Amino acid sequence: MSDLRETAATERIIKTSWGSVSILLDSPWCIACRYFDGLPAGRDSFFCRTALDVEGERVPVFDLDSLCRNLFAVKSDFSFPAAVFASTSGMRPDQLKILSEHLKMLPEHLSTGDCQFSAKYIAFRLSGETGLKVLPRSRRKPVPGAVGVLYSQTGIRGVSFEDGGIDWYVDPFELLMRAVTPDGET
Amino acid sequence: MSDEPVKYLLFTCGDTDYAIPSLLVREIVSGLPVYPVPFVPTWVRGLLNRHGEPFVVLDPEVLFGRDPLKGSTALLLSVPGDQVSLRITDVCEFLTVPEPDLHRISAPDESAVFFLGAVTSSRGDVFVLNIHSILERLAVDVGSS
Repeated sequence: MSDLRETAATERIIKTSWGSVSILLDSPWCIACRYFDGLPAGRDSFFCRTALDVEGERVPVFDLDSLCRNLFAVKSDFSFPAAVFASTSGMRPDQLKILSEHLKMLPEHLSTGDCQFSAKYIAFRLSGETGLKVLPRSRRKPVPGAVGVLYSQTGIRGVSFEDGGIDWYVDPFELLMRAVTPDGET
Repeated sequence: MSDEPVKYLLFTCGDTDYAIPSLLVREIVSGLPVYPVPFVPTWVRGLLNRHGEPFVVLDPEVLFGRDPLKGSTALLLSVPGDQVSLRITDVCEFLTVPEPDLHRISAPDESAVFFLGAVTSSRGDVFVLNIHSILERLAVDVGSS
């Protein structure tokens, strides 16, 4: 995983190309984007679609589209064969525990035999057609007032405006926790 | 209560006239797109972009149980610690009245809390919005109070 470690010190916001949601990657996230040929199609009923073998480690791949669809009810697009990797060292212990328990509940790919969750990395599958765009953190503006207070509890970290549109910055850990816990509480 | 005159901005929402203390009005904007936002009550229309800064757009007509306003005019408000705006139909005039001329109003429901009172203008009696009560209601409605 040398290519992952090379970018460990970088704080970035990576924007999915379908233009509505960006994921906010806070330090100490270890982040890189990898493209895969034939990333297997998943099932809409699971946020965790599959696992990837990355140099001997099994990395669960969560579907950022589905997580965001859970949040924004956006149309999903699974055509983009790339995933962003994140170090689970950025997760709180309670989040990691919830994630581990969620993965144990999933059948086939992740929970049996040599597919045990490594607890080192997780990945978020992206979508879109044109690739990734890295945005400077300085463009992110917090959502003001009471709505912003609400959003701070849901994984929405802010917005930015450019090219005549709006971009949402979300914390995928928080999205994940909302998706895998019935009441959305962590 | 002082006798100092207070300047109000009169504006319309649909067919209804309202007023707001002019000191609370930061800017009048028009033609800016409003982006819908999730998880909020229907009277929060979304966010608008003013020089890269997001402003929450509130629709007083929906808050008061009427149909959503059309058009794209909004009052950006000057509220410490917040960036909020009101969707309106049009701006009418400025009106300066002594503070004692702000009459109390009563209503059969809870809606009276959203008004500081009423002032008399050439257009008749006009309700003065209580922005702080509206923001308190917003905090309750989004569950962040």
